Amino acid sequence: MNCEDLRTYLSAYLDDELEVGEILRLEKHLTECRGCRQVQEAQLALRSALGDPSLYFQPSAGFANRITAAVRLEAKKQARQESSWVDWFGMPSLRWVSATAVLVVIITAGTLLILNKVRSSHEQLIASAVLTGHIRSLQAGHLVDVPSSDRHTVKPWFQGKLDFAPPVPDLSELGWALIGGRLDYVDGRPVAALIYQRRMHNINVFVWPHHGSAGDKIQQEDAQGYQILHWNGTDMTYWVVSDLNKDELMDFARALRGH
Amino acid sequence: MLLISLKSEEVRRALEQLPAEFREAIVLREFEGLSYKEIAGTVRVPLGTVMSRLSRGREWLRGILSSPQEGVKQKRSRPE
Repeated sequence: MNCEDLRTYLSAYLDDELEVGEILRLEKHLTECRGCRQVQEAQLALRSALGDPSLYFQPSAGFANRITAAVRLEAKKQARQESSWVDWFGMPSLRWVSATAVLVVIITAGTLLILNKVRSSHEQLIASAVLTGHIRSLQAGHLVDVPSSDRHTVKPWFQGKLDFAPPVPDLSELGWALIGGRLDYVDGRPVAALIYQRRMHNINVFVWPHHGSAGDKIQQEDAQGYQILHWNGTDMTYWVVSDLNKDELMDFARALRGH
Repeated sequence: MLLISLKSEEVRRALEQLPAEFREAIVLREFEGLSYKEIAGTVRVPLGTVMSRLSRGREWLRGILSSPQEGVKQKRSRPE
């Protein structure tokens, strides 16, 4: 690898997006070339400058709603146009067959939907509450009651404020920095909110005791541009909310669950 | 000039000087945390183009921030 190649690949190297062979060639060149090491240092300094949280622009909650509404309107218009082009299968005898099939599908889907809704309406309420809690914590500038990256400071802080001791794992080695804890109120009870951070993205983890069985699956949904993850542990229930992308937040949830 | 001592306003102004496709790649990577594959899917360009835009965009950004006049000069001779 020469200096020109290095400058092409350096960015991807620092982003951890190179394959092993290229990494080895690049690192070999770095050990041999002082000029390229200086370029690397400059790139690292640039990344640090770009890491300033104040550079991140957070659109208002209304912005996401307006975009969603505009997309829905456009989709409806398009659907209306498409349905007017189809002459409902043409032949009269087939119309009855297809109408019956459509009816059966609608009834089945409706029944499943109602059953699912009854089961999940409580979870939907909680999802809505944790999302509101997350947004409120950012808007009001009241993200943490106890600002600390030390789990041995955050965990004892909840003593006397909650009737349970929330687990506060240290995930800093995996790239998830603990920045503090907060008391919040969800599902009719006070709960622990733990705040972790990656780059400029804040992650609220709402935790409170759970008396049912532990679930295998991490449930995921997105709302208003935020990702919401939920699972039940052996004795605690977890709700995680962030504007971080889905894959990374799933990694975080798996790291949290594995601790 | 040490980039680490820069104020966020200077970085923001430098970002604004970048051509849209370079700025887009940097914002998606640095602020939204997308992988190269996700950026390629989002802006519908090949993976190699993402790598090239990020590399050249950052190099350009570093040039602007190291010397504020540089941005104007680079803008005149924008790489394709």
